[in-house]
Amino acid sequence: MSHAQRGLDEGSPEQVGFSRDRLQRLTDELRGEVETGQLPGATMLIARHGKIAYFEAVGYRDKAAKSPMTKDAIFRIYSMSKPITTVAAMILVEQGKLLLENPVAAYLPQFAEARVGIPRPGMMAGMPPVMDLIPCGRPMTVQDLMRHTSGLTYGFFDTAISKLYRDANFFGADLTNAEFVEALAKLPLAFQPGAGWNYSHATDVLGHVVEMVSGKSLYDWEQAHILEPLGMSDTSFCIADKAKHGRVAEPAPPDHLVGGAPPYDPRQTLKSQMGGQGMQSTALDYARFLQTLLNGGALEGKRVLGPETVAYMTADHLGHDIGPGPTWYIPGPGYGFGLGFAVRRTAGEAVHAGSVGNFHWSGAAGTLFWCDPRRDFFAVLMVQASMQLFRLESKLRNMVYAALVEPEK
Amino acid sequence: MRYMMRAGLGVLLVLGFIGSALAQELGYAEPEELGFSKDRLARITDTLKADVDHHVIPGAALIIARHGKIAYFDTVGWLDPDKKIPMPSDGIFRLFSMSKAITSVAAMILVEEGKLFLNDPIAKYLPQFGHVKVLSATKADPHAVGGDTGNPALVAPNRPPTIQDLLRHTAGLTYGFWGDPVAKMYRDNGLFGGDYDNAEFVTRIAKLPLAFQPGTVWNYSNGTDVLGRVVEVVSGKSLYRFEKENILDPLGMTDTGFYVTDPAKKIRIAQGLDTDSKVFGFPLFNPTIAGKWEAGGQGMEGTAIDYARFLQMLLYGGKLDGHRILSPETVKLMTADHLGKIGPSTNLYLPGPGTGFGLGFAVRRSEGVATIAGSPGNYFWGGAAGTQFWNDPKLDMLVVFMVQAPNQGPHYAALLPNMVYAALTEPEK
Repeated sequence: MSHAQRGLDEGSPEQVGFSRDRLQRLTDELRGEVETGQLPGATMLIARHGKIAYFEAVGYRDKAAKSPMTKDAIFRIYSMSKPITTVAAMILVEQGKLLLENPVAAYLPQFAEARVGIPRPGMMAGMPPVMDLIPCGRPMTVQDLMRHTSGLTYGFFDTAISKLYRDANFFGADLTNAEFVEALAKLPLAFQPGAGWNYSHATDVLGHVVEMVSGKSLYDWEQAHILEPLGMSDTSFCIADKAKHGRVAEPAPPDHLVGGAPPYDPRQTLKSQMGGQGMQSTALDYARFLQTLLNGGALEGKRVLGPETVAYMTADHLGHDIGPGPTWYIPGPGYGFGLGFAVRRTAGEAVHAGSVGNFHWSGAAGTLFWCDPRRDFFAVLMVQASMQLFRLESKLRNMVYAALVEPEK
Repeated sequence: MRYMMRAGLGVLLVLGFIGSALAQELGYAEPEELGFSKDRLARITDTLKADVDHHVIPGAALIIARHGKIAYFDTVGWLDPDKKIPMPSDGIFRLFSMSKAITSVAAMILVEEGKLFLNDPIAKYLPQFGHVKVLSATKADPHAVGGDTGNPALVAPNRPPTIQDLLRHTAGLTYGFWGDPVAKMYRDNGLFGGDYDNAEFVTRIAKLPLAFQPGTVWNYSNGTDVLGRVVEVVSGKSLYRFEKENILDPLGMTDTGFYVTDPAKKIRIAQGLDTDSKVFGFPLFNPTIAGKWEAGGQGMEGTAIDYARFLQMLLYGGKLDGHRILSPETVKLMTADHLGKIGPSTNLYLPGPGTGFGLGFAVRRSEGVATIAGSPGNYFWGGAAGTQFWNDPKLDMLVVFMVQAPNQGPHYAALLPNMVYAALTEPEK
C-alpha cells in the first residue's frame, strides 16, 4: 500500500489505537503546567495512520496580554528548522546536484582551508586562548553537516572554540547566509571532521550549500519545494503577512529568555535565513511536514522526497565508529543520529518510551516532535518555554505511549 | 512501450526468438508497475544527457530492473565521440574490475562442485605461493616487526593466504597504483611486461612479497587475477573457456569476453573522450588486439544487457532462464559481509563507509553511515573506466551503468544510487 496520497485528516483517538481517557490525562497535565506557571501555553498534535487523534490548545498565547492559546498560534521553532533545511538539501541530492561525500568546500570554498583548533594546555586564567591550528585529517563533507560530525560547534558550550563563536555574536547579528559562512569559516574547527557528534551551526552552513547549489535563497527553495507543495503556509523565516502578527505565541517570565536573551521578533523583516534555527511555524504546519516523512516523502500526492531517501535520512549515520564529540551528546543514550534527526537505536537504554527507528528533534524554545515509523504516528508540541524542553520531552513521550493502548491497530 | 523502443531492435529480436520463458526474465514492464516514477526516471536521463552535452562523459547505457523486469533501459551520447557514432543499446564496454564478480562466480562454481575450498591456502593450487613472504615495514601492517622507518624486512606470513582471502581482498596482495612499498615493486619489477598468460602472471607476482599480513586488512589488489589462475588449475581449462561454458553461454552473455575479435562486434566498442581516456595513466586498452592474458580482475568487455543478465541471475539466487549457475545459499554466502572486524589498509578503502566486503562484491552493512541511499545487503562494484553496478536484494532491483570515462567513476557511483532510489517512489510494490 502506498501512502503517497495520504493527507492529514480528522480522526478519533479510538479509531487509531489511542485511549481517549489516557489522552485526557495529557491535556490535564499540560493544563496543570499552565496553572503552576511552568508553561504559558501550548498546542499539541498527535496523528496516527494519517488521522489526527489529538489536537489541543491550552493556556495563553500571550500571557501578558491575557490572550488565550489558539490552535493556529505561530511559534519560533528554532532547531526544528533543521529537519526542513536537511530535507531541502536531500531534494538536491535526489536531483543529482549534491553529493553527500563531497567536501563542503566543493560548494563553499570558504572552508577549503579549514583548520582544527587545539587549545594549548597550561593556558592562564583570563588570558586569551592560545590555539594550535592543525590541518584536517579529511575535509568536512556534506554528510558531516547533516549528522553534526563536521568539526563545527555552537557558541553556548564551555570550550575555548565555543567562546570564539560567542565573541562572533552569531545569535545576535542579522547576517545573510553568505555573510555568516564567511565569518564562521574564519574560526577554527572544534575537532577533526568525522571524529564525533557535536551539535553545531552545521545546518546553517547546509542552508547556504542549498543556496549555492540551487541558485535560490534558502527560503525561496524551501517555499517552492517543501512549504508550498505541503501547504505549510504559516511556516517562514519572518512573518510577512501582518494579519498573522497577532498569532505569534510569546514566552512568559520566569522563562521568557532563550539562550539568555529575549527571543527575536519574528514579525521583523530580517536578512537572516538561518537553516539551523530561523523559522516559525504552527503545530498543524509542522504536522504536515512530519506526516510527509511518515508517508515516505509525499502528502496528498505531492512528492517531496522518495521513500528510500526518507529511509536513508532517518537511519543512524553515526554507526560504530562515531561517538559523542567534545560537548554534550544531546541525542541521549540509546540514540544515534541520521541526516537531520536523532534516531533511536534500541528499544531500551533511552530514558523514555519509544520504538526503534523513531526520529526526533526539538527547538531551543521548548518545541519538540518525534515520529514513530514502526507505529506510524507522530507527536508535535509547540511551546515557548525554553527551560522546560528536556523535562517535557520525556514526560510527553511517556504519556503518549501510555495512551497508545492498541498499537497493533 | 517507449522504453522498449529505446532499448533497440537487436535486444528485442533476441528476446523474441528465445521464447516465452526468457521473455519473463528481463523483459520489459512499465516503470509504474515496478514502483518507479516515470518523471523521476526521466530526471536521470536528463542529467546524463546534460553530462554528455558538457563533455563529462562521451555516452552511456543504463539499465534499471526490478522483479525480473526492465523498468528503464536508455542510452545517451556517443559510442565513439570522435567519429560521432551514437550510443547503441548493445555498445561493448571495457568492464575492468567488473570482471571480478564474474571470476568470483567462476571460482564459487568450483567450490560448489567440491573441487575448491575457501579455506585452502592459495599454494595448494599455485605452489609458487608456497614460499611467499610479507614485507614487514609497511605502515598498515599491525604485525610489522621492522617498524615504520626501519629497514624493510621479509618475514613469513602469520598464516598462508587463502582462496577466501583472494575473493575478499585480504590476501596481502596489492595493486601497482597504490602507495605502499610493495605496490612500487609491482610497478618496477616488470610484472606486466610482454605477452603473458595467467600462469606466467602468477609466477611473476608470487616472486614479490605480500604488502600486508594475510587476513589482517582489506587491500584492493590483483587477488582476483590470481583467483582466475586458480580456476584454470582446478578446472583444467582456460579462465575464458571455463566461464564461457559455465556462466556466459548459459546466461546468454554472448557479448562478454576477454577480447573482441569478431569484426561485427569490433565496431560496437565504446570509446572515451580525449580529455578522459586514461586509466592510471595508461590509455584505454584496445580489446581488439587479442593477447594471452585472461585477467580475471580486469580483462573483460561486455554490454549493459549482458551484465544485467549476470546480475539478474544473482538476484534470482543463482539461476536465469532455467540455467542454474549457483545455488541460492552460495549466492547468499558470496554477498554476505566477509570482513567482520577486518579493517582497511593504509590504501584507499574503496567500499566506503558503512560497507564491508563479501566474496567478489562490496556489501552494504547498514542503512545509514554510507554516503549514498541504499538497502543493507546491497552488493556492488565498479570498473576503472567508470562502469558501475549494484544489486538490491531487499528491493529486488538491479542497476548497471556502462560508460568509458575513467575519471567519473566515483561521481556516478554516488549520483546513480541517489537518483535511482529517488525514482523508486513505491518500493513496497
